[in-house]
Amino acid sequence: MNVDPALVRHVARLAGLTLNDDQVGGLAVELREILTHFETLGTWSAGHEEPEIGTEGGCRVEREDDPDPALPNESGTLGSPASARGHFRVPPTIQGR
Amino acid sequence: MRETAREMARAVRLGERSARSCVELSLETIARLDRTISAFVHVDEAGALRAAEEIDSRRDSGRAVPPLAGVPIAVKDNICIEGLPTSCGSRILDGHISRYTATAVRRAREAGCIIIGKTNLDEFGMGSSTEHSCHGPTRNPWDRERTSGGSSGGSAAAVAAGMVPIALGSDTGGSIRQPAAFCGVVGFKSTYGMVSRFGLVAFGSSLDQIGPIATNVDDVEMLFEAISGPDQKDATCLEGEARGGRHDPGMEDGGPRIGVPREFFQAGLDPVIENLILTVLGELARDGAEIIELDIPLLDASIPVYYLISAAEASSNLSRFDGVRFGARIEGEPSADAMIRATRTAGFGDEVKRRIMLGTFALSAGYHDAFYGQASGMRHRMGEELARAFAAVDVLVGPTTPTLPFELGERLQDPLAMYLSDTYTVAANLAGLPAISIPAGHARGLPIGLQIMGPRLGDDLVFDVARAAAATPSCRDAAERLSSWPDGSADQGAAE
Repeated sequence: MNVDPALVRHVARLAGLTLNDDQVGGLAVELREILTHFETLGTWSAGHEEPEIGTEGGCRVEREDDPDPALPNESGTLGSPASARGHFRVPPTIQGR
Repeated sequence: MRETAREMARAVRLGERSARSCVELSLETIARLDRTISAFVHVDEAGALRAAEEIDSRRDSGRAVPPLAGVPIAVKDNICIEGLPTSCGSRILDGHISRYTATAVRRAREAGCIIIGKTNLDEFGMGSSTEHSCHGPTRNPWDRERTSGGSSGGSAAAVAAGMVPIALGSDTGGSIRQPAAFCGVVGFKSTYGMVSRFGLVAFGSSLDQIGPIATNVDDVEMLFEAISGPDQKDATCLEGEARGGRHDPGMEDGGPRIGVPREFFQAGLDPVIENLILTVLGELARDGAEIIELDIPLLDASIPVYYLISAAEASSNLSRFDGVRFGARIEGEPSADAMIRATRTAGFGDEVKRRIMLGTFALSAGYHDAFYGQASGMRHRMGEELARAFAAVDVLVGPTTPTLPFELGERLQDPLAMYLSDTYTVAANLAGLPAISIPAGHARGLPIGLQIMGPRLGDDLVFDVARAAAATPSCRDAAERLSSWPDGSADQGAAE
């Protein structure tokens, strides 16, 4: 499995992480080793399946969706590092505004 | 000889001792030992003493007290308790205080347990050594230079060292059973859906289960019964008939049929562990169990399947940690996007970043089918193969870990070697099956765990076979060494 620095930077961008050159190099080596080991999966010829939540056996919990009252805004923002009047505070989301 | 949770609760109920004395014993033991073990990341002394006073007052006034009244319990620090910090061992949750309480904790409290504090873990449950924590490593009580296992290493070490008789951990790929094995205690992961995940910070949602750790099977079962049950707050939590009925392991007909997968006894397994597990199997056979060797070939693929699926789920679950809603934030960035990237980059440790990268890669365009899709298909087939095995045997038995507890730092630079620590435990999570690790003996002064895995909804069957295994001479010897710890420790000099 070829994992080059460009691929690592691309995945880091998707993952919301910023990596320096040393970290990119290190992760390229580690991911290459891990993914090469994991490529053995191909030898089992499993075929594609949709992801499952929970276990096999056909025993799923599907109940009515009964909505409860939501948390008040003030309570929902209590754990935030920056909030005001029941809203989250963040830096500008559009550059230059 | 240390007191079990059952004995302690009975003494409190009968008025032979106070709940306060139980809490004080726990706090004294933590103060004496945790300086060198580092099992706890937060001790709630005031809250624990307050809860003890309430129980004592209730009993003294003649009112009934619940079955686990006065029993101190430790809770892994990825399980939320309102008003207490929840760090998940991560800098990104620095300063975070939980706003609600996990259902499992609420039920444990209703059963009379007293929360002593929160225990250390690998960051967000990702690790097998409790070294990947912003709080530093938890050391193994049997040898302080070795890991406690992980990710529930703090809970397992706290029980092994007698700081608490019982604890809660979480198990996504073996995170209760592997540290239980390394610390010489009992750890149980139930059938997926038996215990609510509400209030457990999600790592791999289709794999995670909260579960008990204790010194003996009876205490583990008692705590499991207290915390399990339907929960409207977790849609994957089983309810009604879906929770199944009692399984009969056929003890009256000559003992259980024990399946021994050959895949659990291949290269990579330490010979001293292999010999001990085979000895216990021989002892079980003498007690009437039927031992059946069998092949379950797909077990050989369980590590890549597990790591691809769990990393993919983790990369999605951990996207919520963005510096906006919880914990810490890197200030001074010019835009929200830059702030989120800076916060996640500074807040997550190396192993969490590695898993997020692996999971994001496995889900990304061009690689999804070859990795995540392939792993999902394998998971399905593995479940079918295990179900077929359980048509022929009652339980599967083998080692919990391929090695003895390894030295601190030994595998930090080799993530693949660390992942292989979970070789025997991940299949139970992938198939949603119940599994327990019990102490089977010691080698070189270090504990060895025996794993018993049952069919889906066969949780009671696993407990029954675990009790039979715990009664064998090898397991009894391990239990006696734990009961007399630290006198039986390999590291007596550092015990105090």
